[in-house]
Amino acid sequence: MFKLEREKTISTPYIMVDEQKGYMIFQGESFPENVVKFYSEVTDWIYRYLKTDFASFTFDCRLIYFNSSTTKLLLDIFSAMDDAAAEGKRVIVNWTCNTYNEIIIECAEAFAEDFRNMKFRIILDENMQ
Amino acid sequence: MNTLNHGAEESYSLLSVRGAVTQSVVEESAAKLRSALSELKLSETSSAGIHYVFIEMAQNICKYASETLDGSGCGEITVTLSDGLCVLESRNCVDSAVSNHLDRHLKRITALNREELRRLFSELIREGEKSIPDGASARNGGGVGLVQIAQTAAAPLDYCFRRTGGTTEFILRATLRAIRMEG
Repeated sequence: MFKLEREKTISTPYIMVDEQKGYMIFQGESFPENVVKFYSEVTDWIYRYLKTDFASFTFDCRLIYFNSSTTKLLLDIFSAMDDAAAEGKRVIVNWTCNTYNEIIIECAEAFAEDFRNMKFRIILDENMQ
Repeated sequence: MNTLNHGAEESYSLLSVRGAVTQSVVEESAAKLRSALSELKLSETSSAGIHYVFIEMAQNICKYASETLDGSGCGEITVTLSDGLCVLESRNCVDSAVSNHLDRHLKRITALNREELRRLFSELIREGEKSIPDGASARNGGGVGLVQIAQTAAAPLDYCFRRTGGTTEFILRATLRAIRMEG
């Protein structure tokens, strides 16, 4: 069973993946120098995992800032998650945004509109920093 | 690097970065900018927008630098606050192929309204930027970043190219709203 935990840095988020629990969280800021390389361990795992017969998978996205390369990576992950949901698998995104950050809220809403097979929840939290 | 230098009465030079722009400089400057924005008590949306545009501009300098002949990442970014607006300006040298690409891409971007920018962003990110005219920086993601800067800005982006001798300086300016928190 795949398990990964990485502490956050100035430019990379806290990451925790627990295959046994069907759970993943990104929390903090994401603007690494090389997004593909930084997330490769996660993406290598998730694309394989989403093709298996898992019971359920939840992704808590608590990013307060991310650059355009990270947006592309999130789109690819959401796309694979949505494909799995289209096959009848239980797939959930909980995207938590600061209540007053219209930029992130707008971005989350755009993703939610695009991926309609999985459950995409937008949670507003006025204390999120 | 300077933070919070008070200039003219109603104008603040919030941050100025000049020299080699590496990832560690981007990280250090972004942390200083976040702290300076927090002191000014700007709204969450204003702070996030300024922070976002700063990092995209800085990382674009890193990307364009890797495409120049000598690979140097020298450039300059200034963040100035004035009358409820924040102006972010970046300056860096680019080679002629990149400048031609940027010129075409920015002409297209500056002609679009907010909804058209949103559609272009969505199209570029899905198609791997294939619809951007050929250009080195498009391959590295610079194209999408510029569209997101334009989406975040309160006015169309200003830009120009200054050609002197064998080099071309690319100057990009984004103006954002800088609204203070209520109460």
